[in-house]
Amino acid sequence: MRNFILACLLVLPSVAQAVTVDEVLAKVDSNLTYDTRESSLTMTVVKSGRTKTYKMHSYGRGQEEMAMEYLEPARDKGTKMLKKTDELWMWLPSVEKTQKISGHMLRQGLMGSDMSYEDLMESSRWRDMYGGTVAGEETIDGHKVWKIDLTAKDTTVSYPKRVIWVDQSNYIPVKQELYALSGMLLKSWTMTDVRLIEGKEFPMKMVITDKLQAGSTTEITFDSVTFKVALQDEVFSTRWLER
Amino acid sequence: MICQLIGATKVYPMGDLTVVALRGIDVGVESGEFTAFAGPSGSGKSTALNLIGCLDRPTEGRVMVDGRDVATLTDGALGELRAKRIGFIFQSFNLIPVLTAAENVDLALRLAGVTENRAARVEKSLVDVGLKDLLHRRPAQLSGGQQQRVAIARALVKNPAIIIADEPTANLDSSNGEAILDLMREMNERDGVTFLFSTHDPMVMGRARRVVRLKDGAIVGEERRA
Amino acid sequence: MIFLIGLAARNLARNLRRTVITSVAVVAGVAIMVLGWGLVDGLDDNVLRAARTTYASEVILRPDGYPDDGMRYPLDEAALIPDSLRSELDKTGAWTARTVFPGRIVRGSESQHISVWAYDSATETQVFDRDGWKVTGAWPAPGKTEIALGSGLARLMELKVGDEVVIEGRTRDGAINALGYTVAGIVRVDNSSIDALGVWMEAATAQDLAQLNGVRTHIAVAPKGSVAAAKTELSGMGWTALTVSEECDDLIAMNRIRRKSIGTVVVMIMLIAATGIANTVIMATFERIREIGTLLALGMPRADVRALFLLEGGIMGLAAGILGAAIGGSAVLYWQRHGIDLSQQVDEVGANIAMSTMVYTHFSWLPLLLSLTFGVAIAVGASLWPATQASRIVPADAVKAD
Repeated sequence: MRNFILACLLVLPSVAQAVTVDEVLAKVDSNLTYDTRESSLTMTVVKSGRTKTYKMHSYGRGQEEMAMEYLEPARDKGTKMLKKTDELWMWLPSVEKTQKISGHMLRQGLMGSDMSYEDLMESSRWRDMYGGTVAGEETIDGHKVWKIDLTAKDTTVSYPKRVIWVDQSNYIPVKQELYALSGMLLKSWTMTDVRLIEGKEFPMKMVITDKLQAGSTTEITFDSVTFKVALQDEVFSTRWLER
Repeated sequence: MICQLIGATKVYPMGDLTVVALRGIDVGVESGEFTAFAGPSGSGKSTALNLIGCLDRPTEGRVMVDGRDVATLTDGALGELRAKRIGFIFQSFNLIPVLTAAENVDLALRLAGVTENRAARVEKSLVDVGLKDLLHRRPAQLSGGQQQRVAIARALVKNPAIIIADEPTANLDSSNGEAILDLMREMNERDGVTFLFSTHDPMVMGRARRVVRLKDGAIVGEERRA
Repeated sequence: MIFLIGLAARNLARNLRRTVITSVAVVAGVAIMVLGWGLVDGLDDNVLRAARTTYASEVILRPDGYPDDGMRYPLDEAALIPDSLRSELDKTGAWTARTVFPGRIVRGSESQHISVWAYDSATETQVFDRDGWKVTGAWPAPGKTEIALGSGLARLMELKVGDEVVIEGRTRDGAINALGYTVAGIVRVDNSSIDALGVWMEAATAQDLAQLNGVRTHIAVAPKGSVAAAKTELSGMGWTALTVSEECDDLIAMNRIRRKSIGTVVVMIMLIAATGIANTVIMATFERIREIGTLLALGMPRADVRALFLLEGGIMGLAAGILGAAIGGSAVLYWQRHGIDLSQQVDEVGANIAMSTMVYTHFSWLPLLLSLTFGVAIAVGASLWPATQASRIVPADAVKAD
């Protein structure tokens, strides 16, 4: 009996919040995808004491399509990337060749950053990949957030465990911790500087920190974002890569 | 008659011009002669000697050696003829520098196809020219007179029908030159070796028993002495 | 003929300095050819030795379709060893299975991509001569979270025995895992690609990291009987068998390219040599026009005159070739015994090639004879034109030449 009461006490808070993890994940996923989007961004990679800065221009459409072109540094200028559903291609101007990124190559960091191609591709599919429990409520920067413990639904998911902090007002995952199978913390990921753009709240800054390798961080800042732009189909084709 | 030129003409091309070295001369050499072709340089005496020695072929006319027309012979047969029948003595001695005196002499025998008794013959001919002690010297270790003696031995060793000597004393001082001529004359008188040589030196002409004078490619006179 | 050879030899000796200078290129060409050949043969040996003593033994098996380029080690293509293959392997001889998978080693602010070599220490020593490897510290103790590092990796990361590191990897299914380990030893197996980026751990230890559940990526077999027979018997059971020489085909093909480039260099040197020899023989004919005339006047056949100058070129080529072959051959023999230690150079360029850093040249008579023949042929060939010209001289003019 005592156990029953204890169980009720533990379960009740989440019932009281009238929110399920599944609902939250669905909202987070849809919140991070847009009909169409065009943005300029800066990526700063700090690793082993060296800092590298990249500038990119990116287009997005729906959940499945994304195209990106590197503008700086000069060495990588013209490098293009195209994501369509589960497939990823790259155009490297130095070899003048379109290359499909697949298998183990997806596991590499984007331009040596702490964000892998895989991270990029999985970013809006949490609902499919994870199940979990709301571990509690906290306040971050004056916003009420849910802390949610996620566990991968199957063994093929890269990060078997994730803890996410989701802003209750806008469903932005302002903070995440990514864990290895062993429970070792691999990365932390924050989304901050939320701005209201065309009626949508959008995090203008992401910081990904490698928790294994000291002093390794990647910071992505959106310099400009516009939604609902007219984009031609050609942008999301391999022809665009080679243009 | 060992050798004979019949109407022999030799024309050399010289650039666009042609030089007529011999103008249809007739001359012969009998066995046992000691004959000089005399004349200034350019008179054609060397050309005549070259034709008789089968070192060259006439432009017109015939060269007879041992009664055979040389024109019918191939280059190879001509070489064999030279090797066996004709000895040469040159103005500049023309010994093979890397061979010793004996080897130079032996070379002539070898090329003449002699296989037997060569060493003895080589030694004898070198002794005959007075080089008994210098058998194993190289040309560079010999004086001009000694080198010309080796050349005489080289010409003599194969018992040729005729020895042709083009200005044999021109590169020697007068005493050495005389000694060489003495040696040649002695061989002619003692062994009957036939010599035909060219010269423009009056002293040398004086030693010849027959002098054929040439000028501008033609025979202009002939003298015989006892 | 003997006379002509003697005469030719004396003429060469007479101009010894010129002969020697002319011959230098032939000496160099032949020596480089012999040495280059010995070196590339040595590289072939080296590649085979590195494969044989560090990962392939005599026959290597990989799951069908698994890449054999030695660059990628996809764990998702690893496979269980079927019982049928297992029993066939037991019949064939000694064997050991390994699982190689990619990972990342991290310590402090440094990280490096690695390949983890998970082995079974019980069978490992039956196939590989571990005593031939240089181990600082010790092999990881079974049951402990210990690893051994490739010597190049240890140097690169500045790691020592006793250091603590984290290794991040993926499970066979693809989940990321990371665990802490202690460096028990530093191992140099003398295969650059393993030493440069390899981390050794017991298969049982790797289980925790990569959830192998028995899958393997490589089986190395030391058959009791013939290698070819073993290959045939082990084929067709879901695993692809290669003999160690087939395994090294790619690298040996690279050596064939190397051999070709050495050939190109040698041909170039030989062309220089040929020019030199032709020049020398032309000079000899010009200097000796009077002598040639005399020989012709004395009745030497033109063919013999030609032969004389060909012999002069040929003897020069032969002597230079013998000297070059002797020099090249001695160098090959010396390095066959003592070896060339490339470890410094390999470290500097960070080469990741499946070969040993110790290169032993390989001596054999074939390149020696071939290069000698080549040298002589070049020399005779170069003398052909001047010799022919010399034999065509008109004796009447030549006997009077200065």
